[in-house]
Amino acid sequence: MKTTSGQKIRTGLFVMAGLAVLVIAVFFIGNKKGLFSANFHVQGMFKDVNGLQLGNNARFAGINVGVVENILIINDTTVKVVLSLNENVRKFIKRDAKLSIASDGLMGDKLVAISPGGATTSEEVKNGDQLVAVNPFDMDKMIKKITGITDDAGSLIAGLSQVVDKVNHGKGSIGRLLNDDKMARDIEGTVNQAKTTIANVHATTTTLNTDLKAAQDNFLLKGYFNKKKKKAIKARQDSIKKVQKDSSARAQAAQPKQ
Amino acid sequence: MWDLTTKETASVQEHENVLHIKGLKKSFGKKEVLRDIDLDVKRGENVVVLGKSGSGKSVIIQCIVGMISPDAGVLQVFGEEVSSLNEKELKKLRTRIGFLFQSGALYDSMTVRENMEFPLMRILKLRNQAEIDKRVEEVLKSVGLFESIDKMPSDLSGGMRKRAGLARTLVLNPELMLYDEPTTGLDPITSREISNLVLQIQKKYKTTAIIITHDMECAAITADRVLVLSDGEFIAEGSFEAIKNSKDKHVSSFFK
Amino acid sequence: MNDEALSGWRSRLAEKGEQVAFLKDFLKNLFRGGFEWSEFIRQCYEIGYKSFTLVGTTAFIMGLVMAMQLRPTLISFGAESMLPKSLAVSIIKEIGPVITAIICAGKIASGIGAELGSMKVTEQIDAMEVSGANPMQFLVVTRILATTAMVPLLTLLGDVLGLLGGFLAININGSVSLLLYFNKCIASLGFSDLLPAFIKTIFFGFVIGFIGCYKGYNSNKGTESVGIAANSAVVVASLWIFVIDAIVVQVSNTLIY
Repeated sequence: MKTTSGQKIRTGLFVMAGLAVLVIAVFFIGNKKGLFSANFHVQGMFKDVNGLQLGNNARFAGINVGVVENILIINDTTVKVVLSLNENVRKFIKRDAKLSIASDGLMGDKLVAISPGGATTSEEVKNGDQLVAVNPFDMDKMIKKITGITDDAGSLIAGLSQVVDKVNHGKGSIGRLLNDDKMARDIEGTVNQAKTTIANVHATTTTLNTDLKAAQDNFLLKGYFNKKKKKAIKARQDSIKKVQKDSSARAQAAQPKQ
Repeated sequence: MWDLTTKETASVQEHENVLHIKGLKKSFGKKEVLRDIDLDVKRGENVVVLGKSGSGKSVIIQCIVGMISPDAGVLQVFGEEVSSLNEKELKKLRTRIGFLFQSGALYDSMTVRENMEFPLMRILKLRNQAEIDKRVEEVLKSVGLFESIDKMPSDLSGGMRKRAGLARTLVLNPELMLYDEPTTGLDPITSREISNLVLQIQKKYKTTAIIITHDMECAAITADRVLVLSDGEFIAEGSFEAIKNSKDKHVSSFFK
Repeated sequence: MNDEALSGWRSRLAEKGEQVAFLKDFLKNLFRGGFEWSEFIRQCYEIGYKSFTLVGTTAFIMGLVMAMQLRPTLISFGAESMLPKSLAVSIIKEIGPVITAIICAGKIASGIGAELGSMKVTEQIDAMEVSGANPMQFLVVTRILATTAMVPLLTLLGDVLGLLGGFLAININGSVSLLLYFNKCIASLGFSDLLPAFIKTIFFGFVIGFIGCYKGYNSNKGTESVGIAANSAVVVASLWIFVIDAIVVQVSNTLIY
């Protein structure tokens, strides 16, 4: 049976469709891996790449911009990672950009994250440049740090609780101030005494005034008394003033303690 | 192409014998099928080989086209020793021999026309469609199958298939025709038609023919000379009438 | 008993030898001039185009079912968004090529085995050979090349339909845009996934055509041998498909990692 033209056309369509699928798949996968666009290379020296593999993505600002093209062990503490990045993003990456290794979700693939840079220089990155590599976030180290912080916090809290305990039990001046009534009672007594003293002074002063009036009435002694009176009055007034001063000073001193 | 054919025809005329077989032996496993076969066929002759089923008569013609290689003996076709030919020479020899299979062996994925075109395009390497059409139509007319030219083999009757198979071998203008049981599986009337056709073909295309059969009527119609094969040997040779009147027990048993 | 076992082994070894000879014959005829373009195109039509409906439907349903089966498992550990990725990887790398190849072994290898077997029984192959034409070149080379070319294409189209089936299944339960689904599928694939998968389909195609042709071309003369040829073509081709699959996985893993 000869092939009719209809059969030939259908066979042709079938073959074209199959080849189109192949070409599209190759194109899209290649495109994803940056095979068909202009590329440039940057590299970074890591101590540890945490399982990064060839072909893992390189991300800038959360966008896949390239792939890991090569991973080489330079020496026992250095691993060189070469990235092939899309030429279009070169103008956004400055020379002080940093490379770090991150992972895509908890179980996801590893990737190289590129931080934008631009803090110290505005010069864009060039082909073959070596960028600063921030070593990967190490789980062990983080756990050690957190343990240290927790220990510190523990001793701090222990100290605090001791202080609070002392204050509660009235130890130390703050504790006594907060917890003891005796002092308040002392202050109260002092104030009362001051009040009594002042009352006594008032009484004495009244008696003296009466005596002096009688003495002034005795003419024989008038002159003498007049002089003496003046001195005595003066002296008493001084002593009264002094007592008054004393008591008010004591009262003043007791005042804030209450 | 036509130059080549005339040259070949000339070479045939040089060798009077188209086929020369001497002391041919062939056995399959322990069974000796052909013991000692001598056969010479002259150009333009129709030779009928009579034999019972399983007597090994098909093996003779299969040896002639190189499908089976004999164990011993001389087998020359057109003066060339078949067993000494390389693949290319054997192929060239085969284009000069027509082989009609018992079933007709039409390619059943192709129409009758395509069956005819197949050897023309592949063996004669013809590319001119007009010439191909001309030869196909001519050969189909000569076997009386022109009206079925665009039918599929599965739509043809047994007799028509034989005719178509015959046409397909004739389309290459063979010098030697080998018929393997041309009338088997056909009703007596169709058998007679086919036998007459074989005779007509021989006259029209001037072929030499070896006809393997157990059909007496076919032999009677087509034979110039009859050979009787029994137990791997020819036990009688002569004209059909002479064989028919033979006193030999084995030979006369064919005519009962 | 012992003799029978021995002859069983002998016949199997003899068959392997015949297959090698058949392969040699195929290669010899492959590089001989006069390639049968018209028959090749017809075989491409029969093998490629006509198998597309079957392969496409099966692949589509496989994708659909796989997405439905994977979804609950992935949800149970909160990885529903991994569904396109797992679908893409499993369909492209394994399910697509193998399912397509097995279906093709069932449809194409048995078809070729039966066709050539019946041509052998009805003496068509002998007739071709005796007429001086080249049945190896006309029947075998065209068929083997057609399967070698068509099975990879069928697989690619089957992959696409399988992924679309998965997309449909995801959209029955939720809503994902085709663009997102497509991007996720592509993002999860690399050339290391696509190329070995594609290359092995070429081998699958070759084996399907080769075994089908060998079994048909070398079948015995008898009506029942047509059925035997078709049947053993499917069995042997399917077996070879899995063997090749295992070898390709091992080799590609060694080469890639």
